[in-house]
Amino acid sequence: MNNRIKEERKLRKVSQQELAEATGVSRQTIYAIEKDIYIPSTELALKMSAFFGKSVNELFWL
Amino acid sequence: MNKTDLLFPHKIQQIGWVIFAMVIIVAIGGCIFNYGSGFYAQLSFVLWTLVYLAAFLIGFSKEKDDDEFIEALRFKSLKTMLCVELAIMVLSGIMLGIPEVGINYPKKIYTAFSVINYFCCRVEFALPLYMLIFKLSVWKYRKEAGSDE
Repeated sequence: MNNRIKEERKLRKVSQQELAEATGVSRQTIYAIEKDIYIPSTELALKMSAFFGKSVNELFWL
Repeated sequence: MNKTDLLFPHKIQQIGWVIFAMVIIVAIGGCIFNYGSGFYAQLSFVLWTLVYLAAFLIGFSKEKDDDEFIEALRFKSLKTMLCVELAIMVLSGIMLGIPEVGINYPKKIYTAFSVINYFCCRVEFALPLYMLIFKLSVWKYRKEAGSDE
């Protein structure tokens, strides 16, 4: 699964730590998602989409 | 978000590390001061039991920053441990079975596989192995995430 979490984060000048705190996970989870090591749960994907103000489909795709 | 309900709280992990550190200190002390063979045999039984207990407490306690990724790492470590255990058991089983069909190889190798087989057939061995794999993977991702921004 592909994602554009890193691009969206850079666009908004948000650090991994800030995104982690906003979504209630650790920094290594954000790192793992950005590196395509880990596919987030639906709950976390929805939290991220709410944080960036984009739909889940815009952030994650197959 | 946190689904790790069956795990001990993080403080229990610290108790596990204290037990583990004490075992290491006593074991090193035993090597230096030589407690005596009879006493050391009894002591080693206690030490191994404490290692298993420490591994259980460390491996099945929540991390300070426990979340769904750590949970995924925990599950992956359990699967890896199981695969390693089974691979070693199958390999040692084959190696120990070879002399029984008339094919001989050096006695030292047979003894080595007997020891490996003995430890792998004990469920307690799985706990320290799981703890090692899990802790190494958590440490690896923490280190990698720390150097990336």
